Amino acid sequence: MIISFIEKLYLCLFIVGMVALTYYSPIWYVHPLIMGTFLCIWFYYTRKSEKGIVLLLCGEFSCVAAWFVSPFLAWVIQIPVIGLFLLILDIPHNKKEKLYSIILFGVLGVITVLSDQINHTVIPVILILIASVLVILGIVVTEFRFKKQFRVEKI
Amino acid sequence: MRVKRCTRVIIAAFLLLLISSFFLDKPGLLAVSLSLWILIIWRYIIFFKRLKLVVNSITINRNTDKSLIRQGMICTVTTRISLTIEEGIAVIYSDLTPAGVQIEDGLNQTDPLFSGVHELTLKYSISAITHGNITFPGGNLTVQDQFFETTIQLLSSGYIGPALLVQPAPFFEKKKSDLQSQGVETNKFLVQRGNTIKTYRKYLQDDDSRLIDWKVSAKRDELYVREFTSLESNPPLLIIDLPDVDQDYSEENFSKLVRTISTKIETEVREGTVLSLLIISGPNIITFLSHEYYPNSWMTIIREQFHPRIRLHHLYRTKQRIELRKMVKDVQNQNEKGGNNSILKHYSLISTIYKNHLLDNGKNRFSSQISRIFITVRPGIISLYSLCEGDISHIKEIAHLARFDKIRFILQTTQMIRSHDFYGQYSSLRTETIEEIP
Repeated sequence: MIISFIEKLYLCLFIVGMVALTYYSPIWYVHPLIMGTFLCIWFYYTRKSEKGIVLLLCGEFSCVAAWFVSPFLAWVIQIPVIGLFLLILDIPHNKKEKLYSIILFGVLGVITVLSDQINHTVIPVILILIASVLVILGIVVTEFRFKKQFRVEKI
Repeated sequence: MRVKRCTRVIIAAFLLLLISSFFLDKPGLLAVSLSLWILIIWRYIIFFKRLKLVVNSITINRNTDKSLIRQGMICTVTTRISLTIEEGIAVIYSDLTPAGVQIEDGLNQTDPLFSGVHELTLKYSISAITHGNITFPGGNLTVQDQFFETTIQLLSSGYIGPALLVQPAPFFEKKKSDLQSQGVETNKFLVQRGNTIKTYRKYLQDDDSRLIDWKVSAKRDELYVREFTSLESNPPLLIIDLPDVDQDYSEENFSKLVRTISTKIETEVREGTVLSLLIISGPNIITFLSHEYYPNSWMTIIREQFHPRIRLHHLYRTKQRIELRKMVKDVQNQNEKGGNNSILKHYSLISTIYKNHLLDNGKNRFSSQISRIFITVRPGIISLYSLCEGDISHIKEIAHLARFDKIRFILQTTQMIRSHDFYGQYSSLRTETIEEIP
């Protein structure tokens, strides 16, 4: 198995994050278990079409576990998890994609900070649901307007 | 827009985590679910940006080799596409075919295209099934990445056209005046000559000295040359009856038929025999190749034309003149027998209708075309290759015309001719020479 430099970097970041969690966590045995599962999937899962999404779900599960110990470490772990997911999907690693990834990781950092500030989730969940509906509507309208430009012009 | 399987799983995980965070009141779950939500939105923004760049970069230039064709005839369409694709997406372009048109050969769709600048040409041939003014409606552009897929219909003025005018192919032919059917004079000079001396004439400058008849010249004390009769070859005419694309037919039998014809043509061409070929599909003439001996032309025809075709017309809808005459006679016999007044009135009405049809001289176009081909080719023998599945009225018509012109007619079919089913079904062909393709 040939591993590129960027993959090595992400894997190292993930392992360092998980080791740090094991050190700080009161229930230390959970994190090595998740890390082992993640690495096993990475090295031994052969179905390439499913590998990316399985890794992402496992990685996000480790992020949830990490958040209870330290939101900062949860953010650190989320970077390699999403980075590896995008790499498995053969998304080109050009300059533009790198820039987009940096912006995404920045936004995730902001979300982590904000989530650390709140005590209850009821209102934010409702707000997210409303925002989701609005975003979906926005997407549908934008795409419809875009497609309309190329349809037959009415006389 | 269509979300791919990967995106559907992420959306499901986002909703699961969001609902869990709502009930368990854990901000960690909310943060993770929100990160998945951001991931999807972020990928969509990138996808949409790339989609816009691709669609705005596309230019389409479509041309047809003819602007006016007859219904059922083939026209070649050439579409030149130029587009720029960003890295990370795949694009497929497909030309939309107008209604009433069927693709005969070639592909109207590109393979998946990836990043870079592309200059492509799509070449395909269409056959017009309906008549009228047909305008090419544009194309479809399918753009996809790992998360989303969408199809943009390019139907605005920059992408449509050109227009193709399709003239109807009439089933019946107009009655022509006798003057038109007298034939035309030709200056055709035939290289081959027979052995019979037609006449003697005086020697003219540039005449072949081998043609001088010395005995006559000595007798007349002037140079005379012999003129021989012309020799015209009567090449065999092969007629291939392609099956109807809309009807069920045995593919195994069809491939056997094509194999037999190809072998026959190959053998004849190798021996240097000149052949004529007529390809029909029911009473629709597709191609006619007269006095051909170039192997390449034959191979092109076999490759491009030998496949099931759409039948614009069907001959079983019309009765032959001979049958009409027979029916008039039958009705007259019934009239002579007498009977109920209303029945007699009905018979006389039918008789009038049939007689009008006979007087109208409504000869169908197919029969006229076949007659003309027989006159042009003057075949020594006609071999018709057919599956003999379904309607065979056009075969009957050809056999009838061949008998009328005193040409030997052989029907070659893949059907089991010894079986009772065959003769039961095609009793009208009982008098013809039928050979079974092994």
